[in-house]
Amino acid sequence: MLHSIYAITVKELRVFLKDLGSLFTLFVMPLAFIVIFSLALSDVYGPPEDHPIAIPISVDGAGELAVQIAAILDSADGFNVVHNDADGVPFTAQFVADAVAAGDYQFAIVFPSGFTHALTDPARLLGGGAGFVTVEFIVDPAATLQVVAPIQSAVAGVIQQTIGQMMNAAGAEQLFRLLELPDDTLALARAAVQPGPATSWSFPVVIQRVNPPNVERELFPDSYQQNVPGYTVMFMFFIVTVIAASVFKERSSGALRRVRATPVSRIAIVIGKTLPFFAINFLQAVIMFTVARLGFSMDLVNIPALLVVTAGLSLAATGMGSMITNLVRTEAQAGSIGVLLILILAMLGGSMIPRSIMPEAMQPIGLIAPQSWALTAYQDVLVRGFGIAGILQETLILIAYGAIFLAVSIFRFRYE
Amino acid sequence: MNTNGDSVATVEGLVHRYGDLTAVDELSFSINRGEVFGLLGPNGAGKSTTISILSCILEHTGGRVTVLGADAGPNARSVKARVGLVPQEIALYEDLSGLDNLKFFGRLYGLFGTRLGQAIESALETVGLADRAADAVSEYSGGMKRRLNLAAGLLHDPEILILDEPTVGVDPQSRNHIFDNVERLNAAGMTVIYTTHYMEEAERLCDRVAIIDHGRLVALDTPRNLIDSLGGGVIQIGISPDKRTSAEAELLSLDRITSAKPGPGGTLDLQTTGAQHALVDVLNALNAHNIPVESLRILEPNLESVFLRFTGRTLRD
Repeated sequence: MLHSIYAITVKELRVFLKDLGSLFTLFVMPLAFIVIFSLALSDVYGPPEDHPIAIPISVDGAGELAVQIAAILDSADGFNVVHNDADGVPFTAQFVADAVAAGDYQFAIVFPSGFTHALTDPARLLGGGAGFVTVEFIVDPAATLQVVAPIQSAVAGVIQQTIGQMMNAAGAEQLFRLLELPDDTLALARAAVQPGPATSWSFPVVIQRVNPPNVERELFPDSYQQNVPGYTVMFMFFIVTVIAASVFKERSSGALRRVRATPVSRIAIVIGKTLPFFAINFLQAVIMFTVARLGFSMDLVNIPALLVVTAGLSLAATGMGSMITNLVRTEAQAGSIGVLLILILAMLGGSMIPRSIMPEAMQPIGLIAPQSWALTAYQDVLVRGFGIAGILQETLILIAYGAIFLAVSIFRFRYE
Repeated sequence: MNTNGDSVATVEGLVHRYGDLTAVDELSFSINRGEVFGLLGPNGAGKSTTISILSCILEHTGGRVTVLGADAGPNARSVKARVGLVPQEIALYEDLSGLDNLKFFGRLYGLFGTRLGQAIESALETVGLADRAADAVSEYSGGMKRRLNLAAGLLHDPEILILDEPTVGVDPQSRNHIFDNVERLNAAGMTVIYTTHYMEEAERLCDRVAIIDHGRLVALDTPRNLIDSLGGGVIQIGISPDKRTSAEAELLSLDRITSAKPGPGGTLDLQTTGAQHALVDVLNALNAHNIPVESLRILEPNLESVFLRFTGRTLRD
């Protein structure tokens, strides 16, 4: 019996070692996941000083007090404040707003021109009503409330503390001067009102959360607007496995070889085989968005724009399916390599975790994934309220991906 | 046979290699319009490779092949439009109905609308499946699938019909049905290229037969001439080389032996007027001269024997 067990064990190992698909699934896939996920989330875990959140601040014309607040924020754990460009020129309010709109940053702070002057106005310091000074906290609408709220609170806390200390000291100094205290009394009085927390006065600064320019949507989309695009994009690429199964079945039956005997070009065959899957893929997205709309009342904002993005995405997904099918040798390889590629690209592209929380060096890598362009376009429509013109660039990139994938498919197409 | 003498396909010095394996090796023949041309040989002889090249689905690695006046190759679409291929495997979509399969392949040949409908009707009538056309192919018997496989190759009324082992694994009734179809189509003027390793099929259907072994042409003639070349049969006898000359002289003196020549594997091939009767005379003569017999085989006059005579192997080896 031992001989039999030995023979069967050796045979199974030999068969397994020849099955590249299984080897890939069991060894390469988990390793790839561990490495890529760890890299992508390295900024989320570990001490905050290792991966501070970058916040551009405009202190243009805002004066010394704004610069002082920016410096305090910069020295705080977890923040990396930038307020000058490479040449040392201060950022303007427009520049930081555009940077958020472009997706370079999730947040920005704009101190209004004359900020220091307004707050150190003697009338205000002596309790006169001079209205509020507004500091803008510009937020990318795609950023989640869970991320935005603590950061806004922290920023508000620093501003409040700094101004409170300043006002206590500065207001007392103004009073001392009016009272014309003798020097020795003045020294004692100054020592008595050393900076401390602001107490019973009305805080003169308002922190207002605003959208970046050209974004008309309300801040903070609901969870469906966040999740539906992400998972729709990810799962649409699973068409890869469906295409592979279809083509390999056709090959193994000999039907594709027979098709080769007909006067039909390879281009026609690839396009003919891609179109139905394109339609199925398109329908898949339509159903997902329809369910989200009807079942969960998700605001689709601009349906024509969503359809345009979906068309580009479907072309990229079916093109990728066709390409992988024609690059691998077996259906098992298409399954394992295809799924691995889909999951890695989905992760890099932001379907699983937002690209914005990945390390800065990793964020541009995500642009390799067609998923990232699709996701950006969907969020542009659903979260930022863009129309067709606003998502044209991303859609064209998706179409280009689809065209390249299909070209490779045609070049590598095999009948047997 | 309905040949009018002109050639529809010419193969000159055809070579095809799969890596280091030479599947077809310097093969040359031509096929006349209107004939049923048989490619006979055992499995792995190079028949399917040859017809894949003739049907323009495989690019050959050497030699020249012309079909219907044009060079054969995967890009020869004008040739493909005039050639029908019935592959060895059931190259159909099992989940679709017979009708849907025929619609699909008909459209690939540029048939639409009424022309497609008529072509399907005619093809189904030919193979006797008109009443089962709406059923899924997965519900067909093996023989019915073979017949539908044939129908799919007939839709565009090809000038040349290529059948690759069309009767493998079918019941006798479906086999006869396929034979009848081939004969009827050929009688209507269609040139047929037919590969098989069943000698009786080649004998029944083919006007000429090319016998292929290890990718090489072994013999090419009408089945009758090939069989007649065996006369009343051949005795293939193994004799040690040192006694072969004296044995040959003795055996040629026998009345029932008409000729003697070297055969495969160092044997001596004795052409007889009747193999069974001649065998007794041969053994007596060799015994009388103390010449030991190392091997002995009688080749009855049929294509199987023709193949055996030329290759030393049976078609099913």
